[in-house]
Amino acid sequence: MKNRVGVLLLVAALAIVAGCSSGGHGRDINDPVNSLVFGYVDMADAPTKVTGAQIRQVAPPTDKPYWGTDVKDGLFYTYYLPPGSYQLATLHGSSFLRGEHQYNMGRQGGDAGVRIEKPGIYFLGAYKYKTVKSGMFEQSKFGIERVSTPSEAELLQKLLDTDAEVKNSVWADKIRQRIARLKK
Amino acid sequence: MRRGWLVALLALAVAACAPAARAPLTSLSSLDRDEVVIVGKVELVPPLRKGEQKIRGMVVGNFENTIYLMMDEKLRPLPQDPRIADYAGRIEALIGSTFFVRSKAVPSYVLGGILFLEIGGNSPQQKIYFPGGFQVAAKPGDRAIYVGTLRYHRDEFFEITRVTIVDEYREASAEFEAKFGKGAILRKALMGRVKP
Repeated sequence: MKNRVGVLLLVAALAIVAGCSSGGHGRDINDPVNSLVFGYVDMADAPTKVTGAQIRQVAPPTDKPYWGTDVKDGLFYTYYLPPGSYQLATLHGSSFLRGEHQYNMGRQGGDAGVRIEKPGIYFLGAYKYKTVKSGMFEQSKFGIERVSTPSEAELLQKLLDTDAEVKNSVWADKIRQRIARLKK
Repeated sequence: MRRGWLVALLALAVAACAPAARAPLTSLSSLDRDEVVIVGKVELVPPLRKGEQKIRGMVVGNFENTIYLMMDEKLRPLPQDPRIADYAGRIEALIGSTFFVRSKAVPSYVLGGILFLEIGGNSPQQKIYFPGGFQVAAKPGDRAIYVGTLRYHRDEFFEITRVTIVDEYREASAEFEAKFGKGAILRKALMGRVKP
C-alpha cells in the first residue's frame, strides 16, 4: 500500500480554498451526469480536525480544477462531479490553539483517485493521517495511509443518515442500492 | 510560525540562488578539452495537454513543457524534496526537443526528473517526479555523445507506467550535423539502467 505524502501549511486565512473552489460549479444535485465521490480521513493524529476537503480534477484539464466537498466527522463527499479523473487534493481544518491548517496532497502516489467514465458512486477510500518527520528548514510533511475501516457501506449509510439534501434527492435510492450490493 | 518564515526565506533563496543548469552548446569549438556535448531527448507519453501545466505570475526560469533531468557524477537516490544543490548541473530538457548540452567528459547519472506542474497563482506548487537510475557513459576524449530518447509513459494522475530508452540516432545525428557541421563524430552511447 502506497502512502501519499503531502505538505502541511499553516495559513492565516483560507484564501486559497475560497479562491479556487466552489462546491458544485453551479450544477444541480439531480443532474443525471453527476457522480457521487466520497472518502474518509481519520485526523486523530493531525494538528486539527478536518473541516473542509477539495477534490482536484486532473482530466480533462480545466481552469477550475478544484471541487469543494461537504465534510462530516472525517467523511467528505460531493455529488456534483461530471465524468473525468479526480483525486483528493487538500484537507483543511482549524483549532483555537493551532490556527488554520491546510494539508496539501502531492500529485503523485497513493490511490486516492478515481476515473469516472459513467455516472455512479465512487469511493476514494478511507485513510488515516500520519505525521512524517521533516527537517528544520523543510515544510512540515504528512502522509495518509489507507485503512480498512470505516467501510464503504458504513460511510454511505452515515451520509444518508446525516445529509437531508441527499436523502431528498435522486441519490437516496442509488445509495441504498449500493449499500445492499456491498452487504451481499 | 517561525518555521513558516524560515521555509518562506528558503524558497526565496532557491529562487535567487538556483545553481546553473548544463549550458546549451552552440558551437563545438567552444568546448574545453575535457568537455563533451551530450545529445538526447525526453518525451512524455501522452504529452502535456493544454491547461495541464499551470505556470502563472512572474516566474524566473525555464519551466514550461520542460523536465529537469537531475544529474550527478555519483549514482545516488534523489531526495524526495531535492535541495538547492541537487539542481546543480541539471539538464533542462524541453519535452520532445533534442537537447545539446555541455558536460564534463566523464560518466554521469540521471538521478531522476522533475516537472513543475503548477507554479504561482493561488494553488500550492506541484512537482512531478520521474524515475532515474540511468548512466550517461561519456568518457575522456569524447567530443559528442548521443544518449537516446528517455521516454516516460504516464497516466492522468502522473503515475509513471513505463520508461524506455529509444534509439533515434539517425534523427539526432541529422540535427547534430545541421547544428555543428559535418566535421565532428557523434558517438552513440545510449543511456543504460544501473542499480543504485
